[in-house]
Parts: sequence; C-alpha cells; structure tokens
Amino acid sequence: MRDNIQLAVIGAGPAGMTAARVAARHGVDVMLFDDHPDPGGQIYRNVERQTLDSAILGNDYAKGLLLVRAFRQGKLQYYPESSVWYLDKSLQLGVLHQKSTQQFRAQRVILATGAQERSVPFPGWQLPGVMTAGAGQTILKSAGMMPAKPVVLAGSGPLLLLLAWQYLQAGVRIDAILETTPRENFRRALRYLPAAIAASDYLIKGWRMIRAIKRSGIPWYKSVTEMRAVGDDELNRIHFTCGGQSHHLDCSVLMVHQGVIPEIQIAQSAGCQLQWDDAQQCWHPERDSWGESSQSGIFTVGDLGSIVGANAAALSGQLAGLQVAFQLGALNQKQRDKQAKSIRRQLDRHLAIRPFLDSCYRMSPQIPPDETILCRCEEVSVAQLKRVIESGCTGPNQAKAFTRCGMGPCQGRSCAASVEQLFASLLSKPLNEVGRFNARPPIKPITLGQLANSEE
Amino acid sequence: MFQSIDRQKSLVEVRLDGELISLAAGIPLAAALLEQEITLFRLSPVSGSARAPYCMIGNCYECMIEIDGIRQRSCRVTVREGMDLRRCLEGG
Repeated sequence: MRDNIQLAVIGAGPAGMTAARVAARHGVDVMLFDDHPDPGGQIYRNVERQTLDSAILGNDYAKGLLLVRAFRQGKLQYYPESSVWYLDKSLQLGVLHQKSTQQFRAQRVILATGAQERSVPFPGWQLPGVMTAGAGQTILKSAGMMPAKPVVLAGSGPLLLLLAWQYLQAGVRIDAILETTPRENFRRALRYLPAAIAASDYLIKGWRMIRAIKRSGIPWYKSVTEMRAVGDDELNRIHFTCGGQSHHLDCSVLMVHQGVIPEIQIAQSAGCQLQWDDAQQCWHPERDSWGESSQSGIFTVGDLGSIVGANAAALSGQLAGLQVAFQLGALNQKQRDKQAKSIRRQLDRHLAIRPFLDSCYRMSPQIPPDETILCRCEEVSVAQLKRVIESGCTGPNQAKAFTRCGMGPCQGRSCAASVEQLFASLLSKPLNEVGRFNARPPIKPITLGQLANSEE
Repeated sequence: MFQSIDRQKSLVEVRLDGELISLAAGIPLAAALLEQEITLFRLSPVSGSARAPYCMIGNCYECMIEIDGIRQRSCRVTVREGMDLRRCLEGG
C-alpha cells in the first residue's frame, strides 16, 4: 500500500481537474483517479478527440478543451480508467486499474464524482428504446452518433432543451417534446428572475435555445402528466395526458430527463453526513465554505456538493484545492484568502442563476401508478412496495429484505430516490426522516480475481 | 437505432454470441452495438423481459454483457478488435 499520497482526487470532470491542478500548482503531491479513458467528465466527455462540428455541441462544450489542456499540463499523477471501489474514514482507498487493485492512504481526499440523472419511474420506462437525455448526449459526444429514427423527448430541465437544440443542429427528427414541468413552476420562478440577471449569459443561452426549438415547429406539449411507454420487447408507443386530454404517439426512441442529482455513493459510504436540499429535491454531503465534509479531510466539489453546473463546479474545485494546500502547509492563510476572494466573487455570479432554475424546474413528487417498476434490477413494482409499507415496513433498508428492492447490480442507484419518496408520501413523513439505502463497498463492480491480484 | 453523424469510423471484428460482427472501433461498446441495430442487451433475471442501455454513464447496469469472460457495463468499455461478447439471454 502506498501511504504517502498527499491528495487523492476522484473524478476528472471540471471540479476534479481544477481542484487537482490548483493543489498541484502549490506543490501538493496529487494523484487523480477517474473511470474514463480521457479527462473531461460527463460534461466535456471526449472533448480532446471530438470530431463533431462545434455548431452541434455548442460553444460551452468547446470551452472544456481549455480546462482539459490546463489539467494535462499540471504536475500531477493522472490515472485514467481507474475505479475507486472503496474509501473509508481513515482516507484509505481501493483503486481498480485494469486487472488488479491497489490500496492507497491519502492525507486529503477530494471527491468530484459529479451528478447522475434523477430517476422518475413511469410505466414502461424499462423498455428498450427508452433512455435518458444524458444517454443521448453521451452517445453524441463519445461516439458522434444520433438516433437513426425519429425521437420523442420528455421531462423537465435545461438538459432536455439543450439536447433538443443539439439534435436540431445535427438534423435529428424530433417528433415531439413532452414537457412535464408544471405550469405554475414558471410563475413561481419569476420572483427569482431579478437576482438571475447577474448571470444573464445563462438566461440568454436558455432563451436562444427555446426560441430555436419553437421556430423549428416541433410539437411541444406542456404540463404533460400520466406518461406511459408501451411495447412488448421494445418501445413502440407513448401515452400521455395534456390539457385534460389523452394523447398517444408511435415512437421507438424516447429520451427522458428529470434533472440531475449528486452522485453520492462514495461520499455516503465513507461516512460523510448528507443533507436534504429542498430547493433541488436531492441529498448532498454537508460541506463548509471550502467544500470539506463532516469527515475531516474529505472534500466534496462540483455537482456532488450541490448541483451548480460546470463553471461553478470548476470554481468550487479551485477553493477546495486552495484549502488542501493551506491545510498541508503549502500555502499560508493570507495567500489562500487572497486567491479565494476573486474565486468566490466569480462563483457568486454563476450561482445567481440557481434559485431561478431550481424553482423553474423543481421536481414535484408523485406516486407512480401501481404497475410501475421502481427497482429495475429486481423488478419490484410500486404495488409490491406499497404492500410492505402498508404492513409496517419501517424504511428503505428494511424494504430490501422484504422485496429485494435496491439489491441488484446498480446497488440502488436507479431506485433509491423514488423508494424514499414513496415511503415519505405513504407515511406522510418528511424525506429526511425516512432514511436511505446504506451504501457499502465495493462501490464499483470488482471480480474476486481482480481483488486477489492486489499489489502490495 | 443510432447512426454516425459526420463520418464512417474504422471497423473491427468482434464475436457476439459466437458470430463474427463488425463494430466501430474506439467508441463505447454499447453505442457501437446500438449502431448495428442490436437493441436487446440482456434479459432480466426476474421476468425475462428485454433490456437495453438506459443511462450510458455506468449507473443503471442495464447494458451489462459478458466481455471476454467478465460481465461488464458495455457503456464503459471501448470497442477493441477480437472482443468476445456474450449476452445473457436466459431470463427467469
């Protein structure tokens, strides 16, 4: 085991790359581990080798190249294709690289594991042909591919509109957009608009996307409810309600999106305290103004800390990088604070858009119809869970024992939020009193052979 | 289900359930299979229902197939010449 790493950073998205680079610049010995073959995270996926015309992916994506180049020039050890499969309170971590595992102990750890899409189950969401909007974007960025058939986009949130805009640029036929955002959200969000003017570039970008989509003439259904995907072995039709009427559309590719939530698996398993964020309707680790969690020495940055977007993520990474350099004696307090001041000013400007966006696309929890599969891996339906809750099941962890819900290969990543929500709704309890699935290592899949091959 | 936007990628041969097929090299395996109209990745072990890639970022595990003897998420593996791919098509 290597005992002497000063800082281990997990994740090479904007927050992780920036945190690593800033700490390294001040002389900290940094190792960065990332699952992917190239740096950039999901947002700047494949940006170094991108062959698509920048008109398709947009200017914000292209900006990621500067961040990646700066990271590549940093004096740090970068380990691509390396999965961190455990992290404990003593800051010991297990890393899987190719066919073997290695253990490290670090003096500080910065978690930059980013976000995942929020799962909002509806009948038929497990059918082949239904995928997330993020999946559509990942295939676009990493494989330069678009759907070969007409698509329907459904859900709520900026990413859905961005994908619609990108697909329009690429020439994909979009048969309809089914927006599930409740109409009253837009009215409620208006009071946050004046504060959002400080981040007017976001508003302008959003307005341009919306205008382009409107001009394209794609049917855009608003306040859609009761969505249902139907098909035998794959999707062939969607049913939904809009304006009090039922509608249906034939389609073979449906991309859904309901916002993103922090990917907290590693943070949770390392014992970082979580807090419920009512505005963003998700859990994130508690953190101080530098990003340090309740576990001393473990920091959380970027979208893991709170959903903030790529620009703010990179800035939050800088703050954590500075604090680690300060704590390890590579930087004095005065130098730290001087540098942090301008970073915080920029961060505030980027964060000014959040109350407006959070309110506009606030998720309103609903209980899906009984036949809906909540846990995709173990095929546990809403009806099955309702039965155990009604017979006195105390919380999500006990529901595992009764139903196997959350015990499949995804380890509850896809169903945790909706299971908690179901408990909260049926028991009329606030979400932070319902409890959540425990997160246990191995956080990432690892074979016995890989484990046996550990390098001492 | 998907098609390349700007140009044809170089192809390599792999085996899928014992049969030779050509896939685009250097991209995520799940995307390359979708390009070849392969939309069934596995059958659910519970009911035997058909499954295919859902999230493409390694979270949902729906795209798992056996790659060179180890069950892996095909969205997280890059296509290489000579891969031996087997789908788990025995549900229930």
